[in-house]
Formats: sequence, structure tokens, C-alpha cells
Amino acid sequence: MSTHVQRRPILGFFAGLFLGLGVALVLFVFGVLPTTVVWLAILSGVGVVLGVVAASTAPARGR
Amino acid sequence: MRRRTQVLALTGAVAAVLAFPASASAAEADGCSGSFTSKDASGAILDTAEAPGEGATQDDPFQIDPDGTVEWGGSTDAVIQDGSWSVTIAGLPLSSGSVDNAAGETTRDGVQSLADLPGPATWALQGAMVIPVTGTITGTGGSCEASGFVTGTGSPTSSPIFFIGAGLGLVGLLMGSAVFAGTKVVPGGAARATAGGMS
Repeated sequence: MSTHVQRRPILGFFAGLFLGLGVALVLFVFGVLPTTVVWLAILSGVGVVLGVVAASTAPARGR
Repeated sequence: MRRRTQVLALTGAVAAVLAFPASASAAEADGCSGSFTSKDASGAILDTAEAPGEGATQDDPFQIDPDGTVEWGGSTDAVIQDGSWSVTIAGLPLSSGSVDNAAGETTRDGVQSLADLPGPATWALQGAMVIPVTGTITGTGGSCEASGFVTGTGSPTSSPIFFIGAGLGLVGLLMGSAVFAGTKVVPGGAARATAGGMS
């Protein structure tokens, strides 16, 4: 019987987005980064990329 | 090929962060000048700044008490009439309006109470957030642009923004663990091989 790997890129997208937004807000509130929408967008974008890449490359669990 | 695209995208994102230039590190003013004094709720002087001049830099931002006031005074190099003004905070336009100045004034001063700020603005002034602020006036006769950095008072962990950020990060981590837990080998043919998503 043929099989395939089921992945969750959309879940990875939102996981990365929320993680990126959260990290950005914490860095802002501690004054590590200046509070600008540019940094917010960059960190969110990096989170999204990491989330999608992680979802696309995560090792599959066997049945 | 797909793996190479992913690696390139990841490398590009990291490079963009590392190469992103640091924001301006000094209070600046062009076509005008101003001085600012912040006071806490009890009326004690908290911080002072001048633009152009000392204070209100990224390394030494102008400290503001959300329950206090800011005394300000400013002058323009020329008489600016029949124009517009705008204020940008954190890179976002906050407020704008028109300038008449029929009297032809070049100086102005006042006291701004911060107690009436909306909730999110008050949250941003709790903790160590370094917030860039830019103000511009443009009209007949000249223009003025001033910029600097402000920060709040108190512990960063007392700000609701800290808890919002920590909560979002926690949700992201939980969803990330679900990504790994949900990546599994299932029966099916090539037609389902590209399926994915939240389910």
C-alpha cells in the first residue's frame, strides 16, 4: 500500500507568525529593539518563513 | 530543488535582519528647534531633551510618565503658514491637521498632559520600549521636521504588551509543537501527497 507524508504548512505559517509577533513584542518592551512597524514586520516575516520551512522539513512519524 | 528554495528563503530572511541598518541614534530637527521637559505625576522633573541637541536619542530616549506631563517649547526658523502638520509614532502616522498661523508666529509653547492617552499608548509607556517619534510642519514659508525617541517608566514586565507578547509566543510554540506532532506517514496515493493544512 502506498503512503505519503502529511504535513501542516498552514499551521506552521501561523505558528511562526504568532511566535515572531510574540518575540517582537517582548524585545520591544525590554527596549532591545526600537518599536517600529518595520521591525515588527521583519520578525513576523522571519517567524513565518521559519514556521513554513519547519513544517515542510519536519521528520515524519511512522504509523 | 525545493529544499534549496527553502534554504535560500531562510538565508535571505536572516541576512535581511542582520543587514538592516540601525535606526537614527540622535534627536534631529531641521528648520526648527525645541525643548522638552517631562514631569511625573507628582510634578517632579523626570527628563529633559532638546532637538536638535542632547536627549531623546535611541541610546538615551526621552523618558515619559504616562501619568505625568510634558512641557514643551519650540520655534521655527521661518514663518510657516497655510500648511499641514503630522505626527508619526513607531513608523505609523498617528495624527495630522492643518496649520493656519495667520498671526505669523515662529514660537510656541505649552503643557501636554499624558493622563488622557488611550489605553494602548499608556501600555507602550510602561517599560523600556524605545519608540521613535517624528513631527513635521510644512507650509508656505518653510518646513520643519523633528524626530527623536521616547520611552516610558516602570518595569517591562508590568506592561500588558509584555503579557500579550509572551502569550502570542506561547501560542506559537504550542502550534509549532503541533506541526511536528502532526507530521506523519499516512496511507494514500500521490494525489494526496500534496495535501496539508490545519487538519
